[in-house]
Amino acid sequence: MKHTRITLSARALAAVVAAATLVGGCDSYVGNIQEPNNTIDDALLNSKTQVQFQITGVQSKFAMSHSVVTTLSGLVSDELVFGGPDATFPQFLEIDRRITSVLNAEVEDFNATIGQLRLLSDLLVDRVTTKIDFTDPKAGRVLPEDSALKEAALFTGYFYGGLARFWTASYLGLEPQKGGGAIDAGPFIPSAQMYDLAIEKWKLALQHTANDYQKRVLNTLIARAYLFNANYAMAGTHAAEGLTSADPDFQSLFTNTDNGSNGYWFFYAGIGRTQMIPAQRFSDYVTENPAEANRVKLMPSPKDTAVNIQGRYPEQNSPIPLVSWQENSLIRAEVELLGNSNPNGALEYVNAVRASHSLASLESFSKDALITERDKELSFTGNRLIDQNRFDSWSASLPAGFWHYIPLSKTERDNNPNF
Amino acid sequence: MKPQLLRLLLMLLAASPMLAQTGSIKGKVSEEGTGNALSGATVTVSKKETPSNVIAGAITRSTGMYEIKDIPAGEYLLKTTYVGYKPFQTGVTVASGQITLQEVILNPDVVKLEEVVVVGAASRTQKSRAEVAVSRVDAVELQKGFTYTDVNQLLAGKIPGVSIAPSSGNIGGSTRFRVRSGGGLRGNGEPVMYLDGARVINADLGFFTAGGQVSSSLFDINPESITGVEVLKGPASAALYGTGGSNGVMMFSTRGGVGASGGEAIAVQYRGSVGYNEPQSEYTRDELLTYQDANSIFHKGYFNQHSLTLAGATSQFNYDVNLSSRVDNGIINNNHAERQGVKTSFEVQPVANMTLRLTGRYAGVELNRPANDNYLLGYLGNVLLFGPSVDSTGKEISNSFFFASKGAMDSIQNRTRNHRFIGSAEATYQPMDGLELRGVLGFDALDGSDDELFPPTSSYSRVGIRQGKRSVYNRSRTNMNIDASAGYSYSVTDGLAANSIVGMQLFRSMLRTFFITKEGLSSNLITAVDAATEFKDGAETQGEAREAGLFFQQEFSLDNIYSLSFGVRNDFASSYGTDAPSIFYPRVSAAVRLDKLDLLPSQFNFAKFRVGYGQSGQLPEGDDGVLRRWGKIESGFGIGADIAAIGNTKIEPERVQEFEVGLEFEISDAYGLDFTYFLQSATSSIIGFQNAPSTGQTANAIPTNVGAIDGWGFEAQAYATLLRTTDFGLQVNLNWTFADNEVTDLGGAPPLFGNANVIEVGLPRNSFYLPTILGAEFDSAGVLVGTRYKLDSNGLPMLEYKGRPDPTHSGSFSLTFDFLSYFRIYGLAEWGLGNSIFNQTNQFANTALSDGPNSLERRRLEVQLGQVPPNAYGDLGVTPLTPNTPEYVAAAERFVRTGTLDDDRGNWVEEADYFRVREISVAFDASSLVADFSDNNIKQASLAFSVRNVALFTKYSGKEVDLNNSGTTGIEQATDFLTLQSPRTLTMSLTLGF
Repeated sequence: MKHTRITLSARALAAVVAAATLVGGCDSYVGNIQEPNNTIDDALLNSKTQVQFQITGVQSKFAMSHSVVTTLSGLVSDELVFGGPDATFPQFLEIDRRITSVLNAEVEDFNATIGQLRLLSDLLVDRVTTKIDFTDPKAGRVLPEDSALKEAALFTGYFYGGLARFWTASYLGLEPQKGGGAIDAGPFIPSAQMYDLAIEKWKLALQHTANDYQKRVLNTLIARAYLFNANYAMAGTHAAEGLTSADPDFQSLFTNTDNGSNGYWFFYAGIGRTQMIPAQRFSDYVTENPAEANRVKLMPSPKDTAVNIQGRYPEQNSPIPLVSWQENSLIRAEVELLGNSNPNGALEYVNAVRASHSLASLESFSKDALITERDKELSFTGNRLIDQNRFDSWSASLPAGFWHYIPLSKTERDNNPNF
Repeated sequence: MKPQLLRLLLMLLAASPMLAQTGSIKGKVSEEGTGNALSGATVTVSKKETPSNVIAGAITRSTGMYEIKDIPAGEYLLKTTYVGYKPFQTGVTVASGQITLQEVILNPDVVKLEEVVVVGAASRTQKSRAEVAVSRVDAVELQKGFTYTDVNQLLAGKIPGVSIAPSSGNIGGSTRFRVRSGGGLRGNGEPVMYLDGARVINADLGFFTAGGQVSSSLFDINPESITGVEVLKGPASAALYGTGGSNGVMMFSTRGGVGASGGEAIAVQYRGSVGYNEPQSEYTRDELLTYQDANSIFHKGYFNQHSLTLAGATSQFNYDVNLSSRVDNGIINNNHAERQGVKTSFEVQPVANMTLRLTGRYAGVELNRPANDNYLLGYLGNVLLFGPSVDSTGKEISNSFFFASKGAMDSIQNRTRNHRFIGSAEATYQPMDGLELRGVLGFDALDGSDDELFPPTSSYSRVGIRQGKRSVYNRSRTNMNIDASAGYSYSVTDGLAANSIVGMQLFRSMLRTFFITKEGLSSNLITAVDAATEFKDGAETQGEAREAGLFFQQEFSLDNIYSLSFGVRNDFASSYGTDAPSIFYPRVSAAVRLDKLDLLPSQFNFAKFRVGYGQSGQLPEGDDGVLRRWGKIESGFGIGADIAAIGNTKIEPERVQEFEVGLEFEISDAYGLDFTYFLQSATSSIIGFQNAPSTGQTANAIPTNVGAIDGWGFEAQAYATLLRTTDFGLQVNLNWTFADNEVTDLGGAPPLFGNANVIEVGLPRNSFYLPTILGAEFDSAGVLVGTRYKLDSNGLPMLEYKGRPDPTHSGSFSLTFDFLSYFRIYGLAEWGLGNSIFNQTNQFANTALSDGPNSLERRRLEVQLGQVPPNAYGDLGVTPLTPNTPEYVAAAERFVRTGTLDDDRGNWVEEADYFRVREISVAFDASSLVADFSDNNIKQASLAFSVRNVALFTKYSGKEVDLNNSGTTGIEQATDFLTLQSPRTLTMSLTLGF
């Protein structure tokens, strides 16, 4: 009997060992898979060797977002209208009519792209400040090139983090006439406070610039945000430190590839496919004064030459200006005109801008003239909607309760506990 | 003399006395009632005391005759089995040097009670003993009169509880499987599929989808090589197959040499089919103003199929080799398919207690897809949407082919080419009485490419393609599975038999892809991708998924009346979250043979009650279990990092449990019923939680185990042999399935949308969920100013249930009528009740996309309501109406009911109940005539005519009810947006056997 018990115990033990071996084997088997070669785990980015990769990621997200926000905000405004040879998307039609549904898929994408730019920017700042050690192990200190890399990352994070907040303030709305949005599913922040948050980020970016050009770009942007908040004094102060006529535009950059292209302009409002065309007045500007064609960029549609389409972005890789010295001058003109009640002072800035396009000088200046100058100078750059909202220059024929913004999407409303 | 030769000589000498003491058994196997000879029946001989140990056997020839020689004199048990007939056994005495004559008459097995079927991961039994619902499709019988394009067509309408519907009429297009009430809340609904033991790839193929359509990888399999298909329909039976078994398991088997040769040592069979596809119906002016342009794009598409089989069988070895070819053309240009294949199988019985089976098949496939669906360069989109302009004389000027000319569309090439090898090696071994070891190694390798070409000689500028575009996508996909099990049968007490099974399954799936797109082809003659100048897009991926499982099952049977089995599987998968717990799936089932309890009238020759319960699941997606992964983003700044996927480390499979109860009976050997009620409940369903966009974490929805769905229904299959004489036979078969489901929990997540469909609590899965239109809105002068919607508390249009994409009731009815020994008429009808279709084609056709809508009614309404000048569309026979008149109000109400904005989509969801005459065939089997005429050199000769998709009767206003514009998977279902109708197919086939 003793022998039998031992045998049974041995068999039971063997069975348990065999079962455990098989279970362990199965677990190991399924865990031993080939890793994908097109994605990586988050933790692998916690290295200074990956910082430039992430900086470029934020810049690229900016470019993609810029293409979206400038087209669709133009469609909400009276800058672009749904139409043209290839117009079929009801989503665009809705937005153009300002009867936009929060369910609209384009609204969803618009919300998402701004949120993604904000997150990538903030994550970059967080990673380089809390997760990456820039100390060189051999030298025992941070080498100058690594310090510059960290500064570049911080500049990028703050710069585009500020821009995402600025776009939220300018383009998104909780209600048809209530602009603003949320950050990280937080409470609703009206446009005015959101502009302040953008300014806050941009002022942090000013502490990490690599050159004076970056400083001037930031100052123009800060001036723009103050201007939209009707703070003429601060707008003037920063515009004075902003871009000058020697400075190139600060642009988003694209490629001719499908993934890296200025897709919204080219494929929705350009040669690739046309579902949005400039409002008739842009053609009228050029008809009335052919020299306006130097800044109001139009071209006949190759599919229907009777239709003018925008010509500012003729190619898939056409860059979009985020800010220019001309805009900085118009900011200064507005500060003079509306802040300091000095039309003559404003004229100086406006005429400098006009001269840069070989346009004759204006002899007088007014608020309406300012709005028109901005309409022409900043055409197709995402500024028109902001101007219409702050100057309340909407057509009287629009339906009651029309949307002045791109709505916060249904996904935001459903998943943000504050709404 | 060498030792080996000496040994051989001694063996021969030793055998000599035995030869002198042997005898033979011969006779004819025929069908009871008709007396028809049965060819291919298996006759075996075993000793009475060891009935499971077969010592000799034979297969009946075309005349039904068999002969078993060299049997040592003695008392034996002779068994005869044949698919579709009840087995027969009798005792025989073999005398030395004598021939024993033994005639065998087999009774038809109406509900296939005695067929051995798979009832679990390593468990097989006769259907009469199965404790779970299992269906079997006799593919050989079905294909006697019918030629199917692919296995999807072969199975559609044949299996109760399983709906198989194509997403378009493309040749070789993808097919959606719906098993019972769907298994779980998420997943693609596809059952796990095995072919001769190899777990096969059934993924959709087609990277450049030419619209919403992709192709089915199952097209690679020649349906004529399939013998049968067994289907387990849910966790109650498929639990031990592990995660994925919630949608059931389909096991395809191919015929070996025995079935293919009819028992001959060498047999050759040729089957050839020719025919054509044609559109089922045409458009009329009442439907679309562009009806003539629409009808002009359709044509007849001719096809041919040839199959040559060489097969043979001996007592220890059988084989078959099949060569096949199919060339097929659809009803629209650029819809062309070719499939060439070779399939071999070898089965060896080296010793009495071991069987080895090797199968291998290769297929070379080419599938050309026409552009359609939601695609600017689709044929249908360019002829159905853009209404004509009207000139000053009232003449209509076509705006069709708006985005590109028809010639340019014809020049587009969108092609999948596959090389596919599926092979398996299977061994069964009984080392001792009662113990069976079984192992299977399965392998499925699919290498192929998708090519897309827009030649530079055609213009596609309207969609942004300049001077030609060339894209190439290469894929290499491999499945490998190892299944091993050991089963031991033993007696516990008198009458109580038991069987214990342990087993293991390993599965590995690998995929590598690469693609590149370039534009700027200089010549239409050289279209290689390196002849294009400008890189547009490219990507490379590699991925792997693994699954593993250990299972145990214990089975008991008492007096062959009561049976009980239970089991459990420990499941592993690479897609589980890194912090997910270990997964176990239990199952239990029981059955009782009521006919053996003397409770029923004697007419019940079989009756069984069964009950089963089991759990299975739906796997998470590949990256679901990883916290966050980064990919790349591209711009003029360069290539940078971007969030590619956001996951959940605790993610585990959706848990799907199923309870089923069934009743099967057969009366008077002629009438049978198989009824199953099922109840499914899925919990921990994986719901993607959309983050608020302001979080930026919107690369994807976050997978979370919070959802739940209940499903229920029944499936019934009724058979009847209404007539069976020497000259006439009439069999009918009725399948009826009721399946319903309701989403019960989303864990607080908002509804999940896919175009007009939704997953929302309280609704059937994938319901249409859209705003409700109350009517027209008028201003104080009575002029139409807009649409009144039912509003929610936020003042937004309220979303409400508008219908469901799947029928609640569906079924089929088939009839087989044999007459005058030579002829067979077969017909199959299908129906569905309770389903709806979103007619997005009509939504857009009623939109003024060019110079007015493409709908006569909508144009008339625009004129009547003053939306356009009275003569904007010429003379439509209507004039402007006066506001505030009843006519005006009626027109306005109709106008908003044909509104086309996004919020108006509810206008276009239509009821789509249908009745369809799916298959009709007439076959003339002249085998016996030709055998006599040719002195038995030609053993088989038959001719068949068949029609598929004969007629469709439906409430739906579109052309087809089996469709979805975005393919088979996803939340969006039953949406008709420029989707190609399935063709009517007429076929003539000839079969010759030598």
